Amino acid sequence: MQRRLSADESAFQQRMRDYFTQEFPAHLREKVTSGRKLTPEDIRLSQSTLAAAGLATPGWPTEWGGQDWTPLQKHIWNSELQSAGVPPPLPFNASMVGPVIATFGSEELKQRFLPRTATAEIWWCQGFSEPGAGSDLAALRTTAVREGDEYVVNGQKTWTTLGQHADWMFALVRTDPDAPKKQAGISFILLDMKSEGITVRPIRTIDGDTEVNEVFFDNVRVPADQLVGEENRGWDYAKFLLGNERVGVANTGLIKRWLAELKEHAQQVRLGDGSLLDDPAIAARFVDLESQLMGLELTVVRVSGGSENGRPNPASSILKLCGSQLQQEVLELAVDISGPMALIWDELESVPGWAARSVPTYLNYRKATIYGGSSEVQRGIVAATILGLKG
Amino acid sequence: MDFSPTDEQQALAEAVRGTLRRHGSPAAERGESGAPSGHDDALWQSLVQAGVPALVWAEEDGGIGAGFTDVSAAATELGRARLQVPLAETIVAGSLIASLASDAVRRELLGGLSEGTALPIPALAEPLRAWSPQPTDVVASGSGDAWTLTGTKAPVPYGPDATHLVVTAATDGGTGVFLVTAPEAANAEVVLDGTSATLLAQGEAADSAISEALALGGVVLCAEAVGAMDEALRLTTDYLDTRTQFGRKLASFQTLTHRAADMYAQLEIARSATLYAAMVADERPVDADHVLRARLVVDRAARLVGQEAIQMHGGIGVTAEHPVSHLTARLTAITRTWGDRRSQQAELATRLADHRSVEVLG
Repeated sequence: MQRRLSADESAFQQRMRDYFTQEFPAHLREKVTSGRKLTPEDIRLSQSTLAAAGLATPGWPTEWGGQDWTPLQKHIWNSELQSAGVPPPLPFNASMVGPVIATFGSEELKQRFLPRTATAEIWWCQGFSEPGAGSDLAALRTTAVREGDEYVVNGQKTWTTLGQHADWMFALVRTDPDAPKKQAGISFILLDMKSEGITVRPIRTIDGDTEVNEVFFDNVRVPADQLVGEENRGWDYAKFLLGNERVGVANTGLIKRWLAELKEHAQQVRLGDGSLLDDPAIAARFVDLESQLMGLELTVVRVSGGSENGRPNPASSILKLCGSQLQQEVLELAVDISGPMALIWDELESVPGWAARSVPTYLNYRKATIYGGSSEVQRGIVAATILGLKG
Repeated sequence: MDFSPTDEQQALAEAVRGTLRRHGSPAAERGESGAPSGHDDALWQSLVQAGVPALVWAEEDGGIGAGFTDVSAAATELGRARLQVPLAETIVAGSLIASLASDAVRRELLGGLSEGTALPIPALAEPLRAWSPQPTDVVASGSGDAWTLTGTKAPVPYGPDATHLVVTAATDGGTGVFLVTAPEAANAEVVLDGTSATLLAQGEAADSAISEALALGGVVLCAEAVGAMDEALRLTTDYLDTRTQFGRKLASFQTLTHRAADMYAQLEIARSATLYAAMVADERPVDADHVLRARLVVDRAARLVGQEAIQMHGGIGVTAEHPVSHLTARLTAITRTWGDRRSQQAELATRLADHRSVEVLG
């Protein structure tokens, strides 16, 4: 057991901190920390800058721009990036489709896509969920029928995050409707969003934003060489994708920055002769959240560092569950700290943006316990695979 | 940073498990109640044989010179086996003696503690007073070598079994830490009435030694709680997997299995915080705030795990004969020993504005 970072790990941490806080474009960080909305160009610029520094896709194989880092180094990278307010690499690119192509794709697919995926020259979106296939993802009904050198795709995807900006989609489609198990008839394909027959319809969310979309496919013709891996093995690749990236799934760096900023905000709100941070009930909530966050971050380090008896630590299954809950608790506290200022959603001369944004942000982040495998799905996984509880 | 136990720690845990298995858990087997079981000298002496009470004390004082990651591994086994011994108590009393007593007294008491002949116990809490490390009701008077203490300390678990009490008392110079030899207590109430005592320290020296001792004792309590929660969750999942109602295993009811998953999640976060706190305790100065945070994390987990373990067992879970009731009783006691959620939150709140965020990677 060893509490401290080694000299090498400390030097690595300092190197990350120096790059993110001194070399990375300050105007992008400033936008993030002041809570303003990033444009698609901002997001692409951030990722291409990170890629040039070798810091966009550290989890990838080294031959495709990844880094030969330990899990702890990846956590430090992620932590420093988030705490500096650097816009993180697009998850669809960096932690979803990239590793799948790198692991299961043909050499041709790798060369065609990976370099431009790393830099976000290609912006990917995820085509998994459907109106009838949410937590029960394998119930998906979008079909791809092979005709010569092409697949013909028909159906609908939904909750496609930032799909309105995407150049390409990676999608799960049903290629064998007669497979004995519904998981066995699914394939993983790549679609050009400019293809004929694709319609993207934005969905307005509770905060007034358009972050997610419906995507319709009407006889979309997809070259067969855009199949990843083998036909009807898509479910395996999807499971790999969902379980691949444990580092970052708890979002501890982001939560830490939110909590630090919120503490400053609480000090700006007057209460009697002091500030809201002096209030024992509010202070106790901060203390609890800081303590829980400490426990979660230590858990990230403990389970990502390893391998107990050579196997991945099963406790890694709780990171999404607990991280998403903690995100929501911090944002709930933000609304409570805004108090009466939470009644408006527009910044005023006298009401700061953080207070005006507290409610839409709180409402928007109810998504955190729903996407990427809802809390109920996570609990089911823990109960079945770790606790061995099967009905 | 590395959380994996050393081979020595695994061997120690295994040895302690063996010792405890031979002893059984008489309180649960008697089925009387989940009340604190009192001192079991035979059990304590068997742990002395295994070296447990000697672990953290310096070799020159008669100890083994190991660390808090080691004693925590032992404490987790105590929690798992639902056996209560004054390990955390001797850590608090011993730590005060180690930092404040004269060389001769330190060697005598820590050596005796390591050999099983001395049992120093802290007497800190005062009745009908919210937890505070600062004494109010017990007052010291005197000077030099001649001090007397007056007032009541209660409850003092293991008070009747102590060979020495380490007592906090108010003095004109702030908080005083005193040593009372051969105390007389019929139960957990220590009534001091002009009782002779030796002054170990007062004022700032006393305050900082108390803070460190409570942090060290707190680490051992956290580690014991992790063992108790491990066992409570194990019993609960076994029960869900075997008990049948409505013609189905309880494990087929999602309303139960999802709650078991939440118990697991809280337990693992508490385990991380506890292992970290143990590593913190092996550094000087001890970062007592990290230990307080770990105690809060353990408190939250202990409430959930204890309450849900009983609920999911149904009626049997509130009987004195079932182990899960004893585990929950012990978890309830641990999270009120030398501080509780309120006092821990309040103490950390006083320093909340001193840092931007809590950093653990350094």
